[in-house]
Amino acid sequence: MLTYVLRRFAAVFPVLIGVSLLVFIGIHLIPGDPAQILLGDKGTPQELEQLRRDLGLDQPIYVQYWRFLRRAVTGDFGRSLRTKQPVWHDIAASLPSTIELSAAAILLATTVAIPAGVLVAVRRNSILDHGVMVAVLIGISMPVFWTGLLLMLLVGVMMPIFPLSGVLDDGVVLSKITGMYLVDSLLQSNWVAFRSALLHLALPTITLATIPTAVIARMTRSAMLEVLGQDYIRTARAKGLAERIVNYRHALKNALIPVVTVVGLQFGNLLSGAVITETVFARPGMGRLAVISILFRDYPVVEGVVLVVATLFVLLNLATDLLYAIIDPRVHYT
Amino acid sequence: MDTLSVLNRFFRRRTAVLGALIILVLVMLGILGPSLAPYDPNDQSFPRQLQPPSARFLMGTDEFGRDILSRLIYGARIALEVGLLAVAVALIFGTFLGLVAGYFGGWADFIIMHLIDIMLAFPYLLLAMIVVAVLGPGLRNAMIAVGIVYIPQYARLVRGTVLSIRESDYVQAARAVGASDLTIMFRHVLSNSLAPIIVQSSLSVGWAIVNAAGLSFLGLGAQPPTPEWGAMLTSGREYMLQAPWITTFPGLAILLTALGFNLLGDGLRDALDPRLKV
Repeated sequence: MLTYVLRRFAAVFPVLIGVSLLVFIGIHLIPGDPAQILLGDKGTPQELEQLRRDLGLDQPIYVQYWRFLRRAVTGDFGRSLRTKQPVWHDIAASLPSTIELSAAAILLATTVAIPAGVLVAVRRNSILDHGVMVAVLIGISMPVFWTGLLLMLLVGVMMPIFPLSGVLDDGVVLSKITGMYLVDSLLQSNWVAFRSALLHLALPTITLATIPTAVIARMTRSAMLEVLGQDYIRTARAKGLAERIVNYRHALKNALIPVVTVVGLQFGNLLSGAVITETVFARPGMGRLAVISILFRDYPVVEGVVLVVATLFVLLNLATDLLYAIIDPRVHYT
Repeated sequence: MDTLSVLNRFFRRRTAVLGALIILVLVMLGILGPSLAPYDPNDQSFPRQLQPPSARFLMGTDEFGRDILSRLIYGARIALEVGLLAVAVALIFGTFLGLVAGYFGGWADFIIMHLIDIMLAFPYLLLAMIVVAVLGPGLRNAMIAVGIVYIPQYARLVRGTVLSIRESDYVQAARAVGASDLTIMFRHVLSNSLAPIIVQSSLSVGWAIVNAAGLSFLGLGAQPPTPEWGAMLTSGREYMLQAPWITTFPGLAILLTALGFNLLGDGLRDALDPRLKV
C-alpha cells in the first residue's frame, strides 16, 4: 500500500510540471506586450525597456519559464494589473469561498444521490424508479447557469428567506479565520453569522449539486443492480439475512467502488460549475475572479488562478485514487 | 454491424426516438429559421420592451423590444453550428491523436497520453477559459475552445478502442498481405472503431452547446446582439424578476437540446452495441 501511495504521489509531479508549462505557454500566447499593458500609455520607451528587463521579458523563454516556476512554487504570481495587490492576496481571499461551496455541493450530492440510487435499485422498474430516472436525465441536461437562475426565480422569490446574492447579510460582522464563512462562524460561535452564511449558501449549493447528484444517483443505481445480481447476494438472502443488511452491508459496500470513481470525476464538474454558480449568485470565489481577470486582461491573476485550481484538481484526483485503493484492497497499478 | 438491426434496436426505444425527434426539430429550425421567424431577431423597439407573451409576441419581448421567439429560432442555427464545429474540432484532432497513440504505441503513446493527462488536469471550463483568454472573447473562439476541451475524451476513447482492435486477426491478416500502416489504420482499425465514436459525438454535441452557452453566459462567448441562447440568459438576468420569460425560454431551449442529444446518444449506444459502455 505504501509503495502504491508513493508511486501515485510521484506520478503527480510530472503532471503538475506539465500543467505549469501549459499555463505558461498559454499566457505567453496572449497577444500584446505585458510590459506595455502594465505601463499603459504613460511610459516612455526607456521606462518600457527597463520594465521588460525587470519582468525578465528580455530573457530566453526557458529562463522565463524557470523564473515563473520558481516563483509559482513560492506562491508569487506578481501583482494584479487591476487591483495592484499581490495576486496571492486576491487568490487567498477567493479560494476558501470556492472550497466551501464545492465541499457543500459534493456533500449534498452524495447525501442525496447514494441513498436515492440504492432505493431505486432495490425497487427496480417501479414508478419511483422511473420517476427518479426521469429526474436524473433532466438533472444531467440542465445547464448550471439556468438551474441557478430558476432557483433564484422560484425559490428566492416565492420563499424570500433565501437570499439571492452575496455571502452574508448586511450588518453581520464576522472575523476572518479560514475565509470559509460557515466554518469561521462556527469557530467563533457566531450563530447569527452562521445562519446568515447558511442561508446564503443554500441556493448556490443546490445549483452546483444538481448535475453531480444526477450522475452519482445514476451510477449508484447501475452499480447496485450489477452487484444485486451476484451470487454472493443470492447466498446472503438464502442464509435468511434481512433485506436491509443484504442491501447495505453486502451490496452497497461493493457497489461503492465505481461510485467513488464517479464522485472523484465530479470534482472537475464542481470546479467548473463553481465558476458559473459564483457568477450567478455574485459570490466571491476563484471562478468569479478568473472571469473578471480574463475580461480585464489581468493576466498575472489568470495565471495564478488557473495554476492553483489545476493543482487543486490534480490533488483531489490523487485523493480519489488513494481512497479507491483503501476501499478496494485489490487495486494494483503496474 | 447490420444497419437494419441497429435501426430496429434504436426505434424500439421510445426515449431514443424522442431524442431523435427533438434533434430533428432543432435541425429544421436551424435550416428554416429565417423563414419561420416572425420578426427580425435584432429589430429593436423600445415602446414594446419587456412585454409578456401574447398573441403578437408568443414568447414576449426582451429589454430592447426584440421578439424572443425570433431570437430563439435564429439561436437554434447558432447552437447547431456551435455544437457541430466544436465536435468536429475534437473529433478530428482527438481521433488522430488516439489513433496514432493506440496503433504505434511506444514513445508516441507515452507523449500523447501525457499531453492528454495534462489537459485533463484542468477542469473543462477553466481550460476553455484559458483558450478564450488567448484567442479573445467571441462565439467562434468559444466554439474552438470547447472543441479543444473535448479532444482528450476522443483521444482516450479512440486509443482504448484501437488497442483492443490492433491485435485482431483481420488486422494481422492485412499486415501479412503487406498493407501499409496508413491503410491498416484508416481502412481496418478506424472503420471498426466507429461505434463508440458515433455515440460519443452524439453526446458531445449536446454538451458542447451547453458549454458554449456557459461561456457566453460568462461574457466570454457570443457577444451582443448575437441571438445565442447563453448570451440571451446573461442579458435577461437583470430583468429576471420583472420579465422572467426573457430567461425562461432560452433556458428551456438549452435544456431540451441537451436532453435530446443525451437521449439520442443513449439510444445509439444501446442500438450499436448493447454491451457497449462509453
